[in-house]
Amino acid sequence: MMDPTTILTLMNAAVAQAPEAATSAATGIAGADLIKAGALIGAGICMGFGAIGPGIGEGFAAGKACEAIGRSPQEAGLLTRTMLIGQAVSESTGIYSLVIALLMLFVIG
Amino acid sequence: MESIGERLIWYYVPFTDIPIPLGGVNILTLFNAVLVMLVLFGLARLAVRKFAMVPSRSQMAIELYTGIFDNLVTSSLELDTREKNRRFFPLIGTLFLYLILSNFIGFVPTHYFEEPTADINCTLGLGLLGMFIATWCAIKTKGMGGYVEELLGPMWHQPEATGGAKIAGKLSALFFFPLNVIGELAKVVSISFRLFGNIVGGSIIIIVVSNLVYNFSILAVGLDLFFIFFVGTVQAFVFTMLTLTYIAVAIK
Amino acid sequence: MELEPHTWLILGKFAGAGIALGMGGIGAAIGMGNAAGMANTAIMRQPKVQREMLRTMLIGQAVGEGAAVFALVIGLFIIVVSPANLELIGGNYFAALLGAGLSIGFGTFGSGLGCGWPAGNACAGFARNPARSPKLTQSMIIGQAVAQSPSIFALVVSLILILTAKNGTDLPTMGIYISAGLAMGVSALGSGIGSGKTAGGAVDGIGRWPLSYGVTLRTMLIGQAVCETPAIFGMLVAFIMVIAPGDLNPGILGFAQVFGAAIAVGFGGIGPGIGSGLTAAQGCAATAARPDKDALILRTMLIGQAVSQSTAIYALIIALALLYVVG
Repeated sequence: MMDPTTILTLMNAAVAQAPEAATSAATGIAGADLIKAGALIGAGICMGFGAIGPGIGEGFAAGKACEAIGRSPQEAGLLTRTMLIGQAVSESTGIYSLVIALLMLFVIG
Repeated sequence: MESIGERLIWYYVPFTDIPIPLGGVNILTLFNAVLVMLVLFGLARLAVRKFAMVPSRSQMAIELYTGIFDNLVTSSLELDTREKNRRFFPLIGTLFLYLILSNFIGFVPTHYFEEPTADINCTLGLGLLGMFIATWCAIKTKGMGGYVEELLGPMWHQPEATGGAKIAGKLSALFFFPLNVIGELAKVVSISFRLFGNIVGGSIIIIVVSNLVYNFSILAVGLDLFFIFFVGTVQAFVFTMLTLTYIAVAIK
Repeated sequence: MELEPHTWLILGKFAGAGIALGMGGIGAAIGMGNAAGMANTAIMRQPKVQREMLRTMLIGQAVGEGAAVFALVIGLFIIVVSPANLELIGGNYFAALLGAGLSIGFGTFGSGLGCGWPAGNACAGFARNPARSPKLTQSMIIGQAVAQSPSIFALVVSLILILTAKNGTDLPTMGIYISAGLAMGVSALGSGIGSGKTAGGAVDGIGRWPLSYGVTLRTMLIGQAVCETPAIFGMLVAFIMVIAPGDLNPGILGFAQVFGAAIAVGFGGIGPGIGSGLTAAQGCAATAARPDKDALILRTMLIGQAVSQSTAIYALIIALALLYVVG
């Protein structure tokens, strides 16, 4: 993902050109429309690719927990608790993606 | 193919002009849900008619079902006595029977009969019910304070830490609390949408396949059998097991 | 873009069939090669039973190729399909054929790749316990059959797209068709790989401890059913896009709405699908090792799978927000 300053620069440049582009609305694609369209596709890409990592990671952690419980079932409580802590931490990047996607949906445009 | 996505909804009480509040009622779902309930009542009446020491075939079937689910419930929950665990057996046993019959009712060919679980209201209602029971049991077992403390994350409760570690533990609650709250809501959405999606997806697949193979229709019937009986049973079992799991985690 | 109807038709056929056959072959090829590799290792361990092992491997590969056969059927169907009135079709038909190709192509990628693990593990289990082969073959076939249901969903969405495409050319409808295909296909990718991995773990467990066949099979079916949730979400979003999209904005904004929703729910289903599969694979292997503790292991597996699918729920929420909330 690009850093925020690049995104802001691009947005400013696009908004600066928007008044001229908006007059050709009948035949072409207006600049403001393009910004919003880009934000919508960007929200989709953000949440879509951002869900890959936590999904695989949390599943791997839960798999190892199942294997460990199979080996020593008497430690089930401790193992489940550790698994949930690990999964909650690796969920954090998923939450970041969700927040950025919601920002792009409802704040831009 | 054009009938995919149509819902039969009554917006006004029939033969009058009184509008039904909350936007109308899904009459097909209600009719089929009440039908499933009546069938379950009838089966229960028939089941408890006579008990013999040497069981007949039907009594053996009922004892098999009761034994399997009793075992499942009492070995999954972890209250102190087996009797206390058994208090949840009626809920889980009934939920599974209701879901299985709801899914099987789609096999009857008339257009009056449709699975009540093909309506998102039904599955969402059952999911909310399960989650509400789990939350209620958690509050009753651990108290309101204990329940909220568990939502605040594993590093909140640190009786023997001092200074920096204790503050870090308290601050980590800022991170864990929204995560856990969203996780609870996500549990409801996931179990209801999974059941809804499987049942509705199966029925749409049958419609599309029937549209294509109008001469070789044994294929459509075979797929129908697979989707309604196999997928219906497995999804009902998954829904029941997940509800049981959430209750078990809540009262642990 | 103003093109002749016949040009749109040919464009659609080439693009759709190309993606269907191209992507559909990759997964099955990798999966079956994987199976053959594991079978070779098993034959090296027990050269005496190589004939039966070869037979098991061939049965497994034949069943696992079913996904690629779906892709072939849809690809051929796209090539030979001819719409009712040729003069009225436009860009929408091209988008529908392209969406159908995307759906079946990506959908059978996952199932083909996933079905390689049960076949390979069945041969490896054969090397450990040559006398218990019927149970192994049974569980392998059941596991592969269930692991191919995401590709069946993708097949149905492809057929709906091809058969109910509208006439004319407008950007939001083109977006709807392409996005429906993309959402279904890519989310079925993750679920197929996950279900296949689950079946592989279950068959591996049965190979090591053949006496826990019943319990392991039940755990495998439950794990695979939960693994297919991202594919169900993708199918749901595809259906509501085609059937009841709500009022989309005109022009490129409508295209961006549905395309963003498709990328969100599609790619958002890969990770949770694979992760749930990893969980269920270990869960089935642990259940086979300790069948007396199966309730405890089943509980942990279901909790782990449910948590690892929460990002799929976030993606579904973003997709539904894109479709219905963004004005």
